[in-house]
Amino acid sequence: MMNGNKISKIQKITRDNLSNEFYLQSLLQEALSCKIISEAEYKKILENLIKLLAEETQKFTKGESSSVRTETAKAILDSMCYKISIYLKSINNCDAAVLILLERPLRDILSSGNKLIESKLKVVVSLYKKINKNRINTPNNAYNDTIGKGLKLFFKEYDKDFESNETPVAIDYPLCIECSNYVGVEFIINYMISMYWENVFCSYFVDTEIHSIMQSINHDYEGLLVNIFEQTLLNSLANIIIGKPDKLKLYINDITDLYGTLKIKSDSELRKLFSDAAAEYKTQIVNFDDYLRNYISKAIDKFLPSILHALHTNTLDKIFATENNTEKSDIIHIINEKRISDEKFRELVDEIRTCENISDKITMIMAVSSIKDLIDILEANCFFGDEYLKLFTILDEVEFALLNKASGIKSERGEDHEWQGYFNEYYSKLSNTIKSKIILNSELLPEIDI
Amino acid sequence: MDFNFSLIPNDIFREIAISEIIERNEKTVEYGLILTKEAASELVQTRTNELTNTGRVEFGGATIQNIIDAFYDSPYINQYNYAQTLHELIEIFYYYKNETLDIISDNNLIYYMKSYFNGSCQGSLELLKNRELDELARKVRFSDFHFSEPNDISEFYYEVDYDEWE
Repeated sequence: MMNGNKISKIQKITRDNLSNEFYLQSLLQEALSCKIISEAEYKKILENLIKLLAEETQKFTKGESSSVRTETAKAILDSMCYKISIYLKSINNCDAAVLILLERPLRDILSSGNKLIESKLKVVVSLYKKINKNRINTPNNAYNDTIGKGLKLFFKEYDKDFESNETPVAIDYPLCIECSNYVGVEFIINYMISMYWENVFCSYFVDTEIHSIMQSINHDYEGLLVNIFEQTLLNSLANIIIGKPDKLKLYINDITDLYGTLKIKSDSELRKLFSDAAAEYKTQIVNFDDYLRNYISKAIDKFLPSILHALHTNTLDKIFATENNTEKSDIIHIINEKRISDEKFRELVDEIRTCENISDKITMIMAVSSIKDLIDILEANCFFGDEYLKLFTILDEVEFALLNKASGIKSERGEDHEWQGYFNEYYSKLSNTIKSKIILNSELLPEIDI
Repeated sequence: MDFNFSLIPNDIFREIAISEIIERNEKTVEYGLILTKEAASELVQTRTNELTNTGRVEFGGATIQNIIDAFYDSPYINQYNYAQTLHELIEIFYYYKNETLDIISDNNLIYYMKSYFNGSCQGSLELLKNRELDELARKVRFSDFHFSEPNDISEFYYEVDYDEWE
């Protein structure tokens, strides 16, 4: 009867009023203030919780100690509440969740929470594999370290039994939309899902283009804590608005066009303009789904105030990554055939060889303006292992096509250098769209003599 | 909302603990040791105070009873100092639970306390606290400690060199 009465008082508690991090606590507080449970029932649940804590503490000490430090007991209690919360969150009706707290033994609810955490951990493993597969090819340290080391820590350090609410990760890379209010396995899942969809979006664009716009913000963006997706989205939307879909780079004249289009719009018109531009992705991005749509929508809400402010202060070029030149500015102008002198070449090779920092090496190689010199350097033991891959990320499509052609010629001759192996590895990971662009460029290039 | 431990039903635990301490009189009376209900109540209060002082929480537990069980046959305890010794042993126990970083189990810590008290300390609580257990805690903190139960507990007893008396 109690069940029927309580359930009939439908939806007194709204999910939005509850905390994600302290769900159980906020649910009980709301249930009490909405009078779904009495003071006595509330106290009874807390007493049961303490009894369960006593059992869990015994498990923690393996029965060897009847007392623990207060902070240890608090940590075990927080972990228990988190596990119970995970289960209660899986029940869509918050009022029904309170009822379960009243009627089911807490031990059972805790066990259900444990099972849910175990299944979520499997999701984490699968998401990590997906992120590794579709990661952006970028020299940004925060991004690479977060995927390479920071997230991996979770698999090693996460204690689902007594510290299930802790998030032992070293995440430096900021997402466009932060997953606030989540902890433990829920945080890691939310972070990874967001990162996965950010990667999906970025994979639609050429890595070198993304690299180029990020360099427009700061030449040494490798060490910055910046979100790559956000800048890519901003530049892409701006390009769609000025009628250049598929492009990312913006030049000064593009910003002038953009300013002309945006300045006459009201706030709501501006929002609609960006939302309509974002709708274009539906037809362009193969894996575009609701999550990505909502994520982009939230991102637009996030940066719209900055755009409005930039419109007032005529500083749109500070919001959108803008190339200083009005013409295409390549990172390495290797089409030019002007070779450097033998003496200078030797000096350069020696400098690169003694340099330990890949960023500095890449800066040095930018002095090269001939494909022949570039290939000679690649074959002069200046780069090792993954350094080749980092170098290839800064090449644009034309430069890449040149190297592709050179590699092909060398392979036909039976030459097999280390850089060719890494080049093929890098090339094989590129998307089909980019590959077809490179092949097209290769065909358009004149014959090269190497 | 923040949960705290004020909901631990201390009153119930307290009554249970007092009656369990009184029950120990059946065993200890053989050694001329008796605790009144008032004395038992004071011991439970000391435990509560020491838990607060050392920042610890105990669920149920039978620390006092375990200490009584270990020490009642000590040659250095008599009815005159029985209750006071227990108060101090309780204080020492919780203090060294923290100082040994919870690495030593309750039973092992009580075992060491008893061995030192009856052995090298010759019933001195001061030596037990400030010399033997301090050294033990230091070893534990510096990972220089391996628990091993001696085969013969008598090795802990102070051995009088009778030759010197002759």
